[in-house]
Amino acid sequence: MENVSSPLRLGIVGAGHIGARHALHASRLPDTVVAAVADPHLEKADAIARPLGAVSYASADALLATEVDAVIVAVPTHLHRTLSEQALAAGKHVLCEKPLALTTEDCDALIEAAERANRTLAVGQVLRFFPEYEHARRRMESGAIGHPAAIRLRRAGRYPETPWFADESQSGGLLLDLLIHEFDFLRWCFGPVTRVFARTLSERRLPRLDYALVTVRHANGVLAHVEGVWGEPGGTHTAFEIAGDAGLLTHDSHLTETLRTATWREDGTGKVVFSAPLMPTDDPYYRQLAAFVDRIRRNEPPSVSAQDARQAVAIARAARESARTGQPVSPEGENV
Amino acid sequence: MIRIGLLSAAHLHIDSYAAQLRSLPQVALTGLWDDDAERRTRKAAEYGCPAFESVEAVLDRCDAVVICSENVHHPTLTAQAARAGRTILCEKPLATTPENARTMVDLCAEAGVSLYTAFPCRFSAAFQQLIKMVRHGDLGEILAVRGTNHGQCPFGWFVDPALSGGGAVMDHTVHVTDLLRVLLGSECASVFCEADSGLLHGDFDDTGFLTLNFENGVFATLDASWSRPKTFPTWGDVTLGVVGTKGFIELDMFRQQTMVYDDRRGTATYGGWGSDIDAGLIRAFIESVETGVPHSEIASGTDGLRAVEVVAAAYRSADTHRPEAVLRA
Repeated sequence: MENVSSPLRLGIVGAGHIGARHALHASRLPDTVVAAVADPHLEKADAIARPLGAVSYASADALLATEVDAVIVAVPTHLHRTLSEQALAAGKHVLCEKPLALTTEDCDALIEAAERANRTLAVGQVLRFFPEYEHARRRMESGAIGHPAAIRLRRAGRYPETPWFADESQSGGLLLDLLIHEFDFLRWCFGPVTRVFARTLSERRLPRLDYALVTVRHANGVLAHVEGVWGEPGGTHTAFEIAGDAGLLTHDSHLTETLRTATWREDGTGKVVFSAPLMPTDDPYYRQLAAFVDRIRRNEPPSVSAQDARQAVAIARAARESARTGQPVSPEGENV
Repeated sequence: MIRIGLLSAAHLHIDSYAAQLRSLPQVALTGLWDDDAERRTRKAAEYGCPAFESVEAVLDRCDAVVICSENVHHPTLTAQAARAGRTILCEKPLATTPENARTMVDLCAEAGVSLYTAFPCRFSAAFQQLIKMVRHGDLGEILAVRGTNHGQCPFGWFVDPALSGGGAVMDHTVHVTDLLRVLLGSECASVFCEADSGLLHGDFDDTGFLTLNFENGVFATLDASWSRPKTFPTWGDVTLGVVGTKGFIELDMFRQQTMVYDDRRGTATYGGWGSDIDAGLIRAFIESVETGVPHSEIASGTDGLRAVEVVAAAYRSADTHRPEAVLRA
C-alpha cells in the first residue's frame, strides 16, 4: 500500500445517525480531516459537512471520485456490499459499519474485493472498543477468573425508529443488526462456534417488539447465553457475566452510571436521567476510528478483520436458521 | 399438636425447614432419622428433637414427615411414609427419574396420602405479585421468559451422581421450571440443553443452559449453572425476565439484601432481609396437615413429577444435541 496523504482525508458515505457520530469523532482525530460527506439527502450530508469544512455530495460516486484516502460506509446494511465494493474499487480504504453484510456470500465478495484492490477493509464491530468489554477480555486473558466456561450476555434497546432498521431484509433484524455485537465479542474472546440454538419473536412480526434468546457452544467447550431485545422501555441496557473455573466477572450498565440527574418538570412531575460519560478520547467510536487510521498509516491489517466480521455474520445467520427450524445449527465456515 | 418427623438431614435445606417448623407453636419435632449416625446425633441436638435409628421409629411418632435425604433415596422414604399414612413434604427434585417420581405419586394416591414437593419459590412475595400482575393482564400476552437459577456448587453428595442423579441440571432445573408452569399455566413440551463441566471439571455437569418450549407457544431459557464462585457474596439467585406484548417484568427473587462487610471474617456478603419463602412453604404444609385437606398453593407430587420430566428431557438433549420432547411418565 502506498502512503496515504497527510493529513489523512476521510469520506463518510451515509449521513444518518451513525454517519454523524463518525463525523464527530473523526473531527477530533489528530492529523485527519473529514473531507467529504455523501448522502442522497443532500441537506443531511450538508448538515454534517458544513461545520467541519467538508464538501457534501448527493451521491457516493461523486464522493469516491474525490481525493479521499479512506471511506466510512455508514449506509443501511443491505447496501454495505455495493458501496464498499465501489469504494475499494476506487482505491479507498474502507471502514464498513457492522454487520459487514447480510449474507456470508456478500461478506466473501467484500473480502475478495479488498484483496483485489489491496486496500484495508475494516469492520465497525465497535463493541471491541467499549472499555467495559475490553476490560473484561483483558482481565480474563490475564487469568483473573481462571478458564472461562459459562457466559451470559444481554443487550436491550429501543425499537428501531427508522423503517429500514426494523425491516429484516434491509438490516438483518435483531440477530444480525443488534446481537452481531455479542456474537463478535464471543468469537473474539472464546474462538470458533460449533453450535447455535435460538428462539426469537422475530417471526411473530410484533409492532414494537423483537426478542431473542440464543445458546452458543464454542469449540473449546465454552457455553454462552445471549439475550437481545428491541423495544425495551428505558433505553440501552447491556450486561454480561463471565464465569470461569476460578472466579466470575460481571457487568451491568444499570450499575455503572456515574451521573444520576433528578429534576422537576414545570408540571411538577419528576424526571430522572442516568448517564456514564467517558473522556472524548476513550469513546469507543473515537478509539475505533483512531485504530482504523493508525493501522492504515502503519500499513498493518485492521484490528477487526473482515474475516472475523464474516464469522460473526455466520453465527447470526445460524441463529436465524435455528429459530426458523427449531433445531441447533452449526455456523458456516467455523470448521475447526 | 402437629407432630413432624424428619427423614434425613442430608439436604442442606433441612436447617431452614426445621427452624420454620420450630417457630410454629402448634408444631413439635418428634423425631429425626438419618442413615449417617454422626449427622443424626448432631442435627437432632441442633433441632432439639429425639434421634432414631430407624425410619419406622420416626413414622410411629408423627403425623407428617419432611424428607431431606439425598435425591436417590426420596422414593424409598416416600414409600415408607406413604404406607404409614403420613403426609409428606419431599425435598426437590422429587426423584432422579420420571419413573420413580411417577411411582411415588401413585403410591401416595393409593395410600390416600398427600405428597408435596418442596418448591418454596412459589411462596416468594415477588413471584406472587408477578402472577397477580400477569393474570390481571398488565403484560398483555406472555411471549417469552428468561430465567436463571444460579448457585455455588454445594459439593458433598450433590456432586456424586450415584446419590444426586446428576449435577447442576438435576439440582437447579426444577425450581424455575415449576415457576414457569405456574406462571404460564402450560406444560413444557420440549427442551434443548447444552451442559458441560468446565467450571469444576468433575464427572458431573456444572453448567446447564436450557431452552424450554411450552405447549402454549411461549419459549424460555433457564440457566441452571453452579456458576457462582466461592467468593460470591451469596449462594446464588432465582431470576425471571418476563416478556409480554405490553412490556417487561424483571424478577430478582432474593434482591432484598444488604451488603455486609466483615473484617474479622474477611468476607463481603449479602444479608437477605426479604420475606422468607421457606416460612410460607412450611406454614402451608402444616395447614394442610391440620385440615387434612390437600393444599392448593403448595406444589403437589405431580408438580414435582412434571419438573423431573423436564430434567430427564434436558439430560437427553445434552446427549443428543437436539431438542427432546418431554415424555410424560
